[in-house]
Amino acid sequence: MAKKKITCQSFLDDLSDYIDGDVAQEIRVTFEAHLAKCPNCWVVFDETQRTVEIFQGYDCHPLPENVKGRLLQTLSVKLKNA
Amino acid sequence: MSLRSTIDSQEVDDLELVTRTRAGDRASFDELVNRHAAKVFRLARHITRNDAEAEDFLQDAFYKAYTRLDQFNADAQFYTWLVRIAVNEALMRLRKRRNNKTVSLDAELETEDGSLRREAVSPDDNPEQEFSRDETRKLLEEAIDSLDEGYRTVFVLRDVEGMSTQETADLLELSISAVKSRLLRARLQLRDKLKGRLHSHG
Repeated sequence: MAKKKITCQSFLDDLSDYIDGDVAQEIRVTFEAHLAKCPNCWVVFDETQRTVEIFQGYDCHPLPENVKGRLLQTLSVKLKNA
Repeated sequence: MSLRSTIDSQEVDDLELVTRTRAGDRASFDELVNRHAAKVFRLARHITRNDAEAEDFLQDAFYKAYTRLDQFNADAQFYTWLVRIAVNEALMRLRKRRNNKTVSLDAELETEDGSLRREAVSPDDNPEQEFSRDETRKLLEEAIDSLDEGYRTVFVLRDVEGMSTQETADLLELSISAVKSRLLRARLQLRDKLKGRLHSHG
């Protein structure tokens, strides 16, 4: 019981690095073995990884065309005096 | 003679545009604005959570970049340098209007007591299926907006802008471990927020 708690905690501590592929090979193997037998950690890992992928796949807050136009116009005026 | 057409007709890297701008060519600076305005706006909007403020800040960031162009080190990437100006500007604005609400951003994560939601879901459960792209984007924007500033800024730099942990740490003057810890918390919070929102529509 105590052993599992430590393993889940250490997995969670390194979850971001694991998702980013930024853990050493031997640690990766250990985590993969843990995921295979721990459904709780697998769910956390899977959902978190998919969350990151969704965010990375969307262009949030696209620049409105009128904002870009105003930006160039404002800079044009301000930079004349800069 | 049109410098604009020269810029449009060939691949000119940022460094060359900076050099030309320093030599007095305003069209080259406009091209830098064209290339990077969308990214700076997105960053500003994520940090400030306000369209008008983000626009205002966008103008200030490019204005400051122009007036400080002589401080730009040619060994650096222009965009990274611009982001540094932009983030500093955005955080400064945020601090001005923020109340003194403080939260512990870097405390230990706990795996017990339900601090993490772990209800099982089907591996095929795809939250994007039920929503249009615009609706999903809006949900994502709202989810990021709902994060505390410390988590939001780290998440945006790392997962939205694709900066490295080291770059993010340098930019925000945080330790590597603080960046990692905040990124993890942001990701876990977003996972919870997104799931709750999307399921409530399902």
